[in-house]
Amino acid sequence: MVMRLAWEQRYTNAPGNIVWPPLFLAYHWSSTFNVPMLIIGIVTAIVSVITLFLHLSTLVKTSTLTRKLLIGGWIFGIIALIVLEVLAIIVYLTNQSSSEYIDIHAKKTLAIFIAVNALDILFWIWGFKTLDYEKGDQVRDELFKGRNDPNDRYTNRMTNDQSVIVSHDIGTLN
Amino acid sequence: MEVDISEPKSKAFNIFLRMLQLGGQLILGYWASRYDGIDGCDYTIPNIVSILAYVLAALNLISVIGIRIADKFPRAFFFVIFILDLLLAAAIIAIQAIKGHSNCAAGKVFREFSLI
Repeated sequence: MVMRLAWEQRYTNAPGNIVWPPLFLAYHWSSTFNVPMLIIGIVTAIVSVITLFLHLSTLVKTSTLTRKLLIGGWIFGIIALIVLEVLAIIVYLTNQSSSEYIDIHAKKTLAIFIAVNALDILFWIWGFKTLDYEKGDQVRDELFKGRNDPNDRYTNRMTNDQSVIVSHDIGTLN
Repeated sequence: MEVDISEPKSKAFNIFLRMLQLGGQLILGYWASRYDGIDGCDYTIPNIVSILAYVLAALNLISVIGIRIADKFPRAFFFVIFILDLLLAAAIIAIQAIKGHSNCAAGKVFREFSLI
């Protein structure tokens, strides 16, 4: 809330979710799930850390290089999360018969990851498509384009309100 | 100095969008944890959390739409919604932390997901 709007918008719309590394890396999974769970946990951690550091690098000063790195990191993050989504779906579907507690735990973790990560990917892509590096949200910019337009209804309403005040003042003076 | 009148509105929009995302994550997480069965699980606490998540998502969806279509942006509106968001998030964390302990895999994963 206290950061510059453009920076805050970029960071909060960029890929990364710190919930996944603890969920995927804190357990000793069975050999069936161990490798894919480690991959998902480590890659999601990498995406979150890269996103954080790339945005920290633009906190004080921005340049063409930081802009390119940020966009590159954003695209990398989205692609990495899409790849992990596919991996999670494959692992989930190919291990339907697992009945050990730790395997059920792994499958529930994967199920939540598949659902929530899909939603996150949609938000990150939407953020990437709608945010301008310097100006922030282009979608919302359209809302405010008419503010300086004399034909804009907001400006007209302000003018009418001021007219009422002026008329009232004249009436009082008379 | 030129004042950017769009900034408070854009900031509010951004915060409500993140809260909407949080609500959506909790709802999807809840249904994903239930998918393919929760046999033997007491799902009372996750059910309560899911209701709070629906309220959180609906509140912020309405707020996001309201910001997009309304001309004016009363600061009181932002603070009321923001405080409600914080209370809902705090309630979800508190309920899961105090009462959410579960021995079944679905409840355990959903609890950890909600808390983190």
